[in-house]
Amino acid sequence: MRPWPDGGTSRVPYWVYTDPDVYRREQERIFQGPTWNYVALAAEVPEPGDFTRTTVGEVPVVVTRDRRGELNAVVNRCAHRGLQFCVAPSGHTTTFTCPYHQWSYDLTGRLLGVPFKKGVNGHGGMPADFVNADHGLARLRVAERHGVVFASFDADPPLFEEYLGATNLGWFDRVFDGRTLRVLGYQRQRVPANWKLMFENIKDPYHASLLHVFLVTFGLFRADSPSATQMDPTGQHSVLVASRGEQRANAATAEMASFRADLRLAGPELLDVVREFPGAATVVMQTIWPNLIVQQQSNTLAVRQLVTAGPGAFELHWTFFGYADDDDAMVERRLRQANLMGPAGLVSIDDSEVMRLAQRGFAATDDAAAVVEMGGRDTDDTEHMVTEAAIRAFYTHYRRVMEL
Amino acid sequence: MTPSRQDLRDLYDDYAAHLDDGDLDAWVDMFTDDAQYLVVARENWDRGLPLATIRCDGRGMLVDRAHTIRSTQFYAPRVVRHFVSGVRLLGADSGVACTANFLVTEALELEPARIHLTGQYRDTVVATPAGLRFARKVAIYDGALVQTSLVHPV
Repeated sequence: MRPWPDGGTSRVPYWVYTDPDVYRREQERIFQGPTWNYVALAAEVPEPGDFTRTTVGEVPVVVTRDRRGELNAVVNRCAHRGLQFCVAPSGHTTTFTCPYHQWSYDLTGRLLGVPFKKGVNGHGGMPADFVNADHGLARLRVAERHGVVFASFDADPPLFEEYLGATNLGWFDRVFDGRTLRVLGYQRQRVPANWKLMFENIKDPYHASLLHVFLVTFGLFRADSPSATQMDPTGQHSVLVASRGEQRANAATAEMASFRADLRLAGPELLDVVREFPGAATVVMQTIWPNLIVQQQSNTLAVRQLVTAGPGAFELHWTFFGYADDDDAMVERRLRQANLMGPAGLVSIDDSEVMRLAQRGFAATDDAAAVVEMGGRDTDDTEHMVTEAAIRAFYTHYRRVMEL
Repeated sequence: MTPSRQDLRDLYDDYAAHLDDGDLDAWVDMFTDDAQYLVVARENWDRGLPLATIRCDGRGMLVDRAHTIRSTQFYAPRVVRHFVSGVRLLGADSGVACTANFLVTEALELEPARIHLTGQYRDTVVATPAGLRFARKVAIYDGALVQTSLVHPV
């Protein structure tokens, strides 16, 4: 591994986004390490027998609800020849059967049957010492918090609530308050950029007031609004919080070329926002190490799951949701406001485009480094948006885990 | 009066041409004032999930979508081209139900064009004094993953 440049985490060398060795170490130490990876919403597997496919890092995983109603996460890889045995994206079943040699498993991953185990007409068969119990599917540890399901490859991961820390747990529980969730649907995209750029984007309030005309003009997230950036003690999780501002020019908007005082919506129902959470915050964007972004912008709620695809690409899987007790007007509101987000988002398009351009910009000159000094060089919580402290905090944790 | 197959073919050819030319005002004008326009991932459609990737309820939201593409969003320059085939007239009730296949190519900057999206339109076409218009247009795209971003309507 190359040495980290001088300047601590106020410099981020571009090789962390390009180097295959760094990427391999990330898979081992982060995604398959002592972390809690988002894998599903409990509402996607409400009944015993339900399953849904997901991915941890690059590892295909199936989340199931077994006969006893417990959640399980198993690697989608047959214990015999390694096939990704589950091909349906989601569904309901009592057993999984690999199509190749029809080894079958229950919903906890236990091996149930091996065809011709005792041979045919006295020929062949498995050795006498073959024991089914030794050949189940690889299992992950599972944690559920208020309808959100996480999994860990680690044998002894920390308690999820301790992992998240008190501050970030409080923000998490604001959206996931114990009400049953209702999945509204999915949006998925593949972006030719390193996965960390997506995390940094949500930890970077500095860009939001400049890049996003739509956010700035309608005051949805803007540097002159009351706001805060809060980390957990390790720096691995963070949250950006803000309240909506007005569409009125002031001293701060004068520096924002993207502020358009005269822009009017012909379809104002897009931003027919109602207050639904306690407190003044109207936007709360949370990043939970290592693969989850929780989005609450006005009334559009989503979990965005990061799936890595080599150093130079990631997938972002957006699950938009509401609550089971939403009335029709609230469902419609959420569906309309979803226009802001996703691969065609009136706001989010800007982000996927700049991440693609970032990867292109530094790929061939990755000994250079990014300058991350807005708001100083520290990693403290702030009460404003003019900072990159959450990115520095992220890399403080990242360097510790990666030994870089 | 049920439109002829030729009328429908012309309608889809005009639709594709407006998008390829970047004439988003003309694109908006191909819808009725209270039209619904959806671009939906097939997984949502097949499972009865209501989320769309683009959702415009009425002309106002179509106008806003056109305006943001032209003037508020940041994206790298690109050329898109829409190929519509297999236009089928399924029946006339309140409007004419049609389906058609679409294929959209995208050429970014100096890169070669590649297939961006494929899928099926499920539309309702109505006759107006100004000609045939879409009262509802649902573009259901096949693969779940969108490559980077979906800037232009489908």
